[in-house]
Amino acid sequence: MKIDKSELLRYLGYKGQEYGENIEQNIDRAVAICLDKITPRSIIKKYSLIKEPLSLKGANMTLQGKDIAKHLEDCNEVYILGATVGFEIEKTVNKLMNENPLLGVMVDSASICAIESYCDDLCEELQKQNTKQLTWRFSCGYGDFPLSQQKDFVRALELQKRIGVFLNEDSFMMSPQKSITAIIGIKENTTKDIQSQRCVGKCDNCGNVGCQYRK
Amino acid sequence: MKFKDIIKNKIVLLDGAFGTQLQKRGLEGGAIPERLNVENPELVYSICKEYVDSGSDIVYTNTFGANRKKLKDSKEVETLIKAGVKIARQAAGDKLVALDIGPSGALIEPLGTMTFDEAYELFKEQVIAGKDGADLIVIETMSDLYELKAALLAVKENCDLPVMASMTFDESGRTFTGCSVEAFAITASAWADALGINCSLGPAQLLPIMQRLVDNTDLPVFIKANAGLPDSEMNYSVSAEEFASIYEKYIDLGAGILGGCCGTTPEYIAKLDELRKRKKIGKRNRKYQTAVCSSTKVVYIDGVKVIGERINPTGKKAMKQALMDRDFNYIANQTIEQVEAGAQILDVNAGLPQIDEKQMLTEMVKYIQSLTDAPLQIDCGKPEAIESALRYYNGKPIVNSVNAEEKSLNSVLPIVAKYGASVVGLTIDEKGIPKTVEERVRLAEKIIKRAKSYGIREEDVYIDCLTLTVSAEPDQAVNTLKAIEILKSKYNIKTVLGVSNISFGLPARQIINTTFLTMAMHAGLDLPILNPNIPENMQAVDAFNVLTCKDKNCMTYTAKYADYAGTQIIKKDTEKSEGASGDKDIFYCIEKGLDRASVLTAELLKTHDALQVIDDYLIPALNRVGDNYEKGKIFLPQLIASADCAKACFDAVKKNLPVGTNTEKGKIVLATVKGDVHDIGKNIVKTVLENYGYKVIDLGKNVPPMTVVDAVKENNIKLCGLSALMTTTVENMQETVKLLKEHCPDCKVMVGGAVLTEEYAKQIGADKYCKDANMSAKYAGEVFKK
Repeated sequence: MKIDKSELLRYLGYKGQEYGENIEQNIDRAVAICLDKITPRSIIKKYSLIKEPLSLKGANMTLQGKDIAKHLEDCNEVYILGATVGFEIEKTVNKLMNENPLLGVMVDSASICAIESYCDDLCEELQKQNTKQLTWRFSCGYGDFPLSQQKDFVRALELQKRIGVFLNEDSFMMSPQKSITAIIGIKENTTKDIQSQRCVGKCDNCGNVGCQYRK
Repeated sequence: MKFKDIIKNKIVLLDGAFGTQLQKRGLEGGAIPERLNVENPELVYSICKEYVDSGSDIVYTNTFGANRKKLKDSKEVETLIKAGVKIARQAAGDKLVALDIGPSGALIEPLGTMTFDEAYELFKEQVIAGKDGADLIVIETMSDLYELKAALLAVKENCDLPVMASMTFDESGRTFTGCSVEAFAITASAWADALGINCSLGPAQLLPIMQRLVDNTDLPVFIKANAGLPDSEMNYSVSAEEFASIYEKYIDLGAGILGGCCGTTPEYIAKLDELRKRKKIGKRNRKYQTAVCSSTKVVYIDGVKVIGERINPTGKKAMKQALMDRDFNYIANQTIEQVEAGAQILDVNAGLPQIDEKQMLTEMVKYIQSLTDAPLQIDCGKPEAIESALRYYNGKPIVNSVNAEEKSLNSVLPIVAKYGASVVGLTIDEKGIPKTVEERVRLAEKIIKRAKSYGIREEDVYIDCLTLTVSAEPDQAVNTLKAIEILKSKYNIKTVLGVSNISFGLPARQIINTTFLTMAMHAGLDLPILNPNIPENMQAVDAFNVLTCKDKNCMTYTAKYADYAGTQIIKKDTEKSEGASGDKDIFYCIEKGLDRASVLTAELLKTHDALQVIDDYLIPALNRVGDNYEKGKIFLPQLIASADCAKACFDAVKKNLPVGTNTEKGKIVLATVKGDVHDIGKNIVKTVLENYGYKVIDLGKNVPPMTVVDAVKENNIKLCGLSALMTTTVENMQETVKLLKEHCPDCKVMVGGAVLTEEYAKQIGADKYCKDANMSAKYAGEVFKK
């Protein structure tokens, strides 16, 4: 896992502005605090895919929406993934927002980088273990894949018991906030290319064109 | 047989995994297993029966997740639990049945949105549904100590069955929510009949954690480890044989109640059954250690520990005002400051005649616990208020205080005992403060004895021999010290003392205070209550710890005082000079967020009057920062740095104003709406608004609509800001706006958050969409100009 400083800045709305040493030093501090306070945990399970209706065999989980169907077009099997960087970092950010908000927003941003990078690592590792090409990870809320399906991930992966991720059943928010669930397809007919596991094309697939974080 | 009888001197076997057995029988994952109690009772029976046949003395019911959050409704909870108990009963024969209660699946505040009371009600339903037919109750796989407390209270208050409680830990000995095994042991010992560890890891990894558990409790302990860790096809790594061989070491540690969690089967229990025939439970000889804790931090009272006195309105004008205004920001600052200054425990007092002490004290305890790990001392004499604060406290606190009056003993001690707290005993009774050493000792003994009669250990009683003002009663200081000495030599109690009253009415009070503190520590004072922000106080404690070998190799002392010079620890100048600084004006410094800005402000104040400095320098400088942000010349961290720096300037100006001058630009209520726990955006807005000179009433996150309305009404608010992050919580924002418009038509509402847009904000009836903190400050400027 690595915390990329340019990503950290991007989440804070950075667009090439000049900044002084006080900001620079805080970035380094934020990265150090983040690495100290995260406890990355994950769980991955493999399932066969049933096409009609699109669902995971033995998991009692139907996948809704056109976008996920398109994403898994060429797949007979999938991995589902749950990952988190834990509560400690969240508590740290909450505390810092009282004591030192400048550092607080930076640590928060660093923790977004951490969970994203952690998931990238997990996917890359999966790709290494597989002879077939994997799709990039697809999460609830991407395109028309409904947020409400978060429920199915949490249940199927027993996220609360295994990695300490809780779901608010009204808002579908996960706690710790820096947690990710995703589905990764195993493609049947595509040549393998490890590079594609990194976050490429994710933004292209999203309908929110005006998003300030769009790459 | 009863639970308490069968665990005496005998190794007792629990069962193994339930889910693993269901999967073996081809049950599809993702279904709710408790429904099988009705849909396929034979299957459930066969699993229970297999465990009984392989040697289990206690089988758990198939009711782990049978709560209202996971099932349809209360009716289904009752049906499935009753059916589960019945099946286990049939399978158990003459063996015992434990009603199994797992976590609710939801998260309690402040991390989540469920209240403590809601959690309690969920568990209460389960207890009532299952208590008939069960021999005991087991609460397991908990990761939140607060939730465990709710469950344990639900058991203790709704049935007479014994209860076992276990939590789930990682290798570091903490749960997912950060609760340490020590905090679990120290807190839950008050209610449970046995404590344990279950799930998460294999037996080898959990062994060191069991060691830590037995070091912190005298209760029987139990273990239900996983059969190692599963792979992505859910195969487990530790065989039954290996499992049992590692369990030998648990028995040696004194764990006499054994079972298995995920991945274990009747085969594992059978192996444990073989094992127990040739093993004796290891002797446990632990010396009781006095300790208090939050869920994440334990403070052992094994030397001098400092209790911070600042969160108390008595004699403190600013705190008094803060309580009356419900200004939680002020309380937050006092909390953080004291902990940073070295206080290990914080005293919390809400005693003001004008306010509802019970409600305020409880609210403060919850709020302060969301800010700091430090354990708290609940400072109150009213039983009703104490009980409420104790109920909602997460961990083991101190109650300050009981005294030797009959009325006090009879009303406070039962509550302290019920909630497993420590208690401060004041050596005072109906006749007032005693004048002699002997009388103080006598009253202390009365308190100790009475506490014991309620089951409160001597070690958990902290005696306060009372500080009297030395200028008024010159001979009493020595008596106080002498009483401490005698009591410490006779009893295993701890002592506590408020120090600063000693010097009342004298000049240079700190000289007397420090000397008295030092003498008291030498006499045997464990817990001075003092202001940790006064360097001399902490210096005396730090030096005392060195001189009494509590600070090993003078490590703490050396680290803290390496840069010490004179009476002040010199703050290192972190500000880098950027070229010649003479020509850097205040505008430049605020824009760059440089600390020098406050120095320049002080300079300006020599030649300008205060309001002029604000209007001609600070506000225009901030406006320039805002413009730059809007144009994209600076980004968020720079905006915050500038705002922060401006605040220091405002503070410098305020010091120069005559008392009572109002510089406040207006009051603003901020809240993250109901259901939403992401509040970083709202907190950024708060920082910026405060630093622009507005008074912000921050209602926090997950705020019910009516709470917002009440705060707006009560404070006659002209502007309210609401934040929501998720599409799913924008509904609650709409509801809040609607109520605000109904009840407080004069209040403008600004809204923001990731999913909002200009158009959407209009749709839900808000007056203004603010895309960022800067925009909020700008809009506030418009609103308060009118």
